[in-house]
Formats: sequence, C-alpha cells, structure tokens
Amino acid sequence: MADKEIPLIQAKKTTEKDVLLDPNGFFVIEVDRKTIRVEYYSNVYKNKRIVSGILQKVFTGTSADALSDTIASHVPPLRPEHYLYLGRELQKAQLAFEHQKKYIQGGC
Amino acid sequence: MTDDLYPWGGEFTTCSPHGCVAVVLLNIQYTPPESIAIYGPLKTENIGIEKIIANVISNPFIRYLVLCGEDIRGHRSGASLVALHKNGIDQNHRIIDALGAIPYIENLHQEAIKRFQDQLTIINLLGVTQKDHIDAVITDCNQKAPPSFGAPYIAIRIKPQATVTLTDNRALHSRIIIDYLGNIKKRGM
Repeated sequence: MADKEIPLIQAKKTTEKDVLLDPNGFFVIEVDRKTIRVEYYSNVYKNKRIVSGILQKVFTGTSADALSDTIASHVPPLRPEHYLYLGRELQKAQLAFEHQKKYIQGGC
Repeated sequence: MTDDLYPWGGEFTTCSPHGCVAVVLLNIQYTPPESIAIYGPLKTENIGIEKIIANVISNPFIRYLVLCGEDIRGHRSGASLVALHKNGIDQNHRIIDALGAIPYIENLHQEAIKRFQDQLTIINLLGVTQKDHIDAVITDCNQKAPPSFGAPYIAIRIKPQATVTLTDNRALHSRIIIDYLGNIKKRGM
C-alpha cells in the first residue's frame, strides 16, 4: 500500500484535425546562412476561419534559447502547446543553422 | 545591400542586383544562372505570394517574373500568383479567380499590387521542369534588357528595434553618494 499514487501518462500525439490553432497568431520560421528568422503574424479570419496573417514582428538570432526568451517577452500569451511547438521548431532550426542544412518548418 | 533591395527578407538567393529576372521555384530543384536578380521557392498562396511581391517591386531592375516547376497541390500558389497579376484582389482581399484554398493578400496595399502588375511581366512556365527550357527563357528575357522601372517601391520595411544591454553591474547595483555640488563622492556596492 503506497502513501500516494502518482499518475503515469503515456504520451500521445494530437491528430492534425484536433489541433487547436492559437487565437493569438502564428509563426513562420526560416533559416539562411546568416541567421534564424522568425516572423510573428496575428490571425486574419474570414468566415470564422484563419486564412492568413498580418505581419507584426520579426525576430532574428542564431540560437533557440535566445529566440525563445525574446519571442516569449514580445508576443501576446500563447497556448501552452504553441509555446512547446515553438521551442521544438526553434531547436530544429538551430540544428539546421549550425550544420548549414535545409530547415523545413513542421506542423503542430 | 540585400536588406535594401529585398526588405521583407525570406528564403531566397540573390545574384545580380541589376538583373531583370526573378525566378519563382515550385516543387523544382533548379539553380538559375547568375545573371538573374533573385530566386527562391513559393509555397503558400497568401504570405508566400506577398513576400515575392514585396521583394521584387523593391528592386526596379526586375522586370520579369519567371514561374517554373509543378504547382503546389491544394494551395495552387503558382496559379494564384498568375491570377493576382492578371486580376488583382477583390474587396475581401481575395485574389480574383485564384484556384488556391486561401489566396488572401493582407499585408500589401492595392498600390503595391498595382506596382507589381505594372513593373513585372509574368513568364508562366508552370508545368515546365526542363533546365534547358527555363535557361533559354531567362536568356531571352536578359537579351531584351528592359530599363529600370524607376524608384524602388518599399511595401514593408523591417526596422531594427534599438536594444540596450547593460553589462556594467555597478550601473545596476551601485549605491552612489553625491555631494551638494552634484559630484560623485562615493560609489559603493
């Protein structure tokens, strides 16, 4: 008999159709020879559907941690899963930048 | 230099600043000759198209936009770009008669689109993937040697924001004693 039971939860990827888009916008990440470039857009809705974005800010840097910190302090609060997604993608972008490989932004 | 000529930035390669050709790549592995001004991929029928427009009308020497490769399924980004050049956008900012799913232009004014239509001639090679064919079209454009369109049109400028980094800890944590004449008498931690 244990004093306390802690839940052990098996990870499961959210399917694409169940991903909730962030009402506070989205990011476009690009990597070139000199920098990692992150564009932040607010959503544009037509008929209650996100169809595009208005460019609000552009961030540049060469490391995922600096970009993460800077972005977090310069954009409106995001959904938790959006922060986590952004962190993953920035790390991928940093790897691509360091090894001068092609970076393709992944989906949520 | 690149930032001035192509102010929005993006995933493109620059070549000759006075080249008269920009090449848009759709699902194609192709490296154009160095004589052209700029080339890069097009992916989306909204922001992707906007970036191309902003980054070609900023360089008045670019007078031809060559689209080559296979169009993006679903997005139909290449066909949407052709439609934008031909028809413009409606009051809802949708590219008129575009085949893409979400062909909305939200970051550019009508004036920028008009400039794009006036400055550029579209060479529609959608469906063409043969290097020799594309090279020959580019050579033909170069031989026409059209004049510059005039002043650059800057649709979007990314302005660096000033940041201050204080590295001297004393400036943040010192206790400064100033005498009655305003001179620093003592600086202590």
